[in-house]
Amino acid sequence: LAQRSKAKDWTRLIYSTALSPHQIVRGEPNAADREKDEENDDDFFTLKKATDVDADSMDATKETYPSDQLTKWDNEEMFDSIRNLFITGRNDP
Amino acid sequence: MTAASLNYSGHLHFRHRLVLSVLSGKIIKIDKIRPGDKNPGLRDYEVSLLRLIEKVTNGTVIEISLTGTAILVKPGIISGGPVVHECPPSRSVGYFLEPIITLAPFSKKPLALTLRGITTDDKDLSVDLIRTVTLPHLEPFGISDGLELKIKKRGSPPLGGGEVLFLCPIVKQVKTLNFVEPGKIKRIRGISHAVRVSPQFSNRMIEAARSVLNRYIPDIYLYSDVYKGEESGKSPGYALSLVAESTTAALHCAEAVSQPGVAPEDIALQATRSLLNEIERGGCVDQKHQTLVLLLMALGSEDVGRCRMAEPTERTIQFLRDVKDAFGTSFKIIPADKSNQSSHLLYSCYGTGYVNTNRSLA
Repeated sequence: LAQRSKAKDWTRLIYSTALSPHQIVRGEPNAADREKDEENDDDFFTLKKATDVDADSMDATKETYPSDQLTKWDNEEMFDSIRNLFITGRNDP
Repeated sequence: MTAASLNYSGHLHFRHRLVLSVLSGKIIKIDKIRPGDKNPGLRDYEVSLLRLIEKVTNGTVIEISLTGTAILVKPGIISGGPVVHECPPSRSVGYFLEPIITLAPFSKKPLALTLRGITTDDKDLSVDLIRTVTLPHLEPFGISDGLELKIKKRGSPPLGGGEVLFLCPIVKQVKTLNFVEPGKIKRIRGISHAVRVSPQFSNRMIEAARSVLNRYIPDIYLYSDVYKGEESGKSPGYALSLVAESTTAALHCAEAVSQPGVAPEDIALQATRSLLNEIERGGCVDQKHQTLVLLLMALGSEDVGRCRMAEPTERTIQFLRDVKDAFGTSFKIIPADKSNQSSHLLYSCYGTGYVNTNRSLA
């Protein structure tokens, strides 16, 4: 995943595509999702596509991390991995 | 400047779209605001924000449709001066302060805004973070003398009862930003507060956070902020906010707020680990302040501004698109390191040379 995100051309994705911000951050919609959409086309009536955003999604600045993002710091290796970002840490990572 | 209006759909990104409309002077129309919801239309805090914008400006016309699902705003000039506003208990004062901070430097008279309501909650930046992190972000843009946020009373959810005073100087133009060196973390500061509960909770949080952070760096000062009686609001609550400062004055912050049934030590641990996440992500500006810095870069004097940051959030992506609609400014976003050492990106743009035309000539 890290490899792919490095290859992202952000300027192009933001200004020259119609992808939603969600799609840009999480990657483009995968093939499985698209197939699902096609299946629905057979029905005479199609359900109105549920919007990506629910009415209560907040315009909030503060982000909350999922708990696995927080518990990873219990791991000593993980804990030591960011020592080089402090002035007290050595320069070689 | 073109006369075209800004047209959007949906309730998302409400705040920055209003800000862009007021700054650019373009009319903004937003429709389809929660049309299919059981409770359609604007929420009470959104209406309250519109009223606040009406108060800090002069000549703003706001039309809200009968169902509340569509609005039209014709922005007036930003007038500033003394303003008092009651924030509804559905959102904290941070929700209202964030957009106002971007408008205030461009007003006619220096703004002295009193906001009453909840001062710390789990959705918006708390007043502590705004005071210690958001406001220092304005300094490199030349907005510093007389910039202040005074926390007069604290107020925890659900009832609030807090009060803050925001003072902001006016500027003619903002300076161009050139911030590409993230530096290394040299110190960590924090504010711990507990209102209407035992003040010991505050000390327990400080101890727990110290036990982890001291392993990285000795320069840690966590302050226990005590508010008593009337000054402590109507509801009990406590929180810990942490700020890591680098050698180049890059700030990274995190915060955790009391939850029912969770020990103060665990709240402190949550704040501490969130801070480590922020430090790991790195860059000169954290993700919470991306839009603030990018907006001021776009408004900067006619020169190339540059800033190194982590990847944009979903909010930031939409914000960049909306800035282009309002000001025609687009950013160039390229990897910061050629060697692909980090995932940092370099954001650069040519400032629009925005001039504060509201400012009264002395």
